[in-house]
Amino acid sequence: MPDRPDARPARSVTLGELERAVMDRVWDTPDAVSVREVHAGLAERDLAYTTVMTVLDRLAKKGLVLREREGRAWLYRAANTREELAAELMDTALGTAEDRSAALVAFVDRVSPDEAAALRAALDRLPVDPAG
Amino acid sequence: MAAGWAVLILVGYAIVLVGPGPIWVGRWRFLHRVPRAAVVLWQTGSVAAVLSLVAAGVLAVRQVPDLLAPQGIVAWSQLIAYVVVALFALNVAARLLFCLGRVAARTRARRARHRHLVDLLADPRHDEPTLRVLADEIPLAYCLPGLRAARVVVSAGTLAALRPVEVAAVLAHERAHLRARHDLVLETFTALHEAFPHLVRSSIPLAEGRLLVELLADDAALRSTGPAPLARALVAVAGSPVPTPALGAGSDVVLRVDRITRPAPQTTLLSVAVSALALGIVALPAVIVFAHTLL
Repeated sequence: MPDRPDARPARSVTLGELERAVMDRVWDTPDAVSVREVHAGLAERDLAYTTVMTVLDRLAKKGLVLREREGRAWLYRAANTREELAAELMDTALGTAEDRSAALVAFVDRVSPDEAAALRAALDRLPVDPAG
Repeated sequence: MAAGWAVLILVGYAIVLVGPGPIWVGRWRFLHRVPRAAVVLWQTGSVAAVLSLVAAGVLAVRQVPDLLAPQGIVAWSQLIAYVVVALFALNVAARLLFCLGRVAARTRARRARHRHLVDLLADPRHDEPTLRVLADEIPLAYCLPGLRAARVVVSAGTLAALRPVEVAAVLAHERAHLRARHDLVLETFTALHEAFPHLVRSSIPLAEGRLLVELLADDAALRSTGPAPLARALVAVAGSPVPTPALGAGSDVVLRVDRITRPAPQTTLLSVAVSALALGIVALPAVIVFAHTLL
């Protein structure tokens, strides 16, 4: 196989990875960004302009970015900061959101320290596990 | 059987199934040994209540035309009673249909939102396409059910706090939820709960439904990794501190660990008996209707 100096290594990029990369660019920019700016910011990934446009469209449909028109172009900005989303995720996961049980099924609920002590006592009834 | 008696028995039966019945059955601890049959029992109890009430409503409506020119107090009170029953039955049936739709829509919307956040903020694992790992120190483990976009989410804190075999137990538990579509089971329980008015209904069937679904997933994990890893994983995650705790039903966790650490007795006969009871419960309204039409 001839050696092509400008060939990039083959990479299978998932849609999720693309969305994360695009969202990072949107978060890193304080003002609203255009597709062209995001595409330029992701130059090292060698993505098509239409790919970036599609990903931003998907993020807008998910409610993660907001769109506004400026002249003929669309500008995008994040609907929430990364910290806000992380807090919302944690609230839902920990059950402090109003109706956690509707979205997800948790492995186990938290208990009080007294109950935790009682649980560890129940564990002592298990046979000693040689595998550790 | 006279229509009045049939309506009375059917309405009374529905009220017993919705109010005092769950309080009594909720004390049957042995049901936790046969979680699958128990889920069927609780669901048929609620379904039988709805069917019984609807049957009463239909019978009541059929009596109304004969009573439209009421003579005397007895006839008036009968007419009023039948109309009330018919309206109540219509209300419950309409609420059930509405709630089934609303629970489904609400859950899907919330779940989609959470899935978007997880996909954005958590790391996927290339060897395990449905697994997502959150970069948080707090031990977390849960699943996001769905037909095509199901996810199992664990935090880095969980992976750090548990041994590999214990992580395997957690993943087996969560995957069991996804495989068996426990989300649909819980949605049914929720809709049946919300179909009846606040004053009449009990929260016990819904609470038991949630617990039984966890027991079913625990059983699946037991088959996969044995009791010790699952029990240790439960205690480690439940006992880990969080900044703003929303403490759940701690007795549920104690019950689950207890159940896992005690040897399991043979349950086939109990399972059959409970299933037979469920069948009887849902058959009774049909028996009463037949008795009314044939006798």
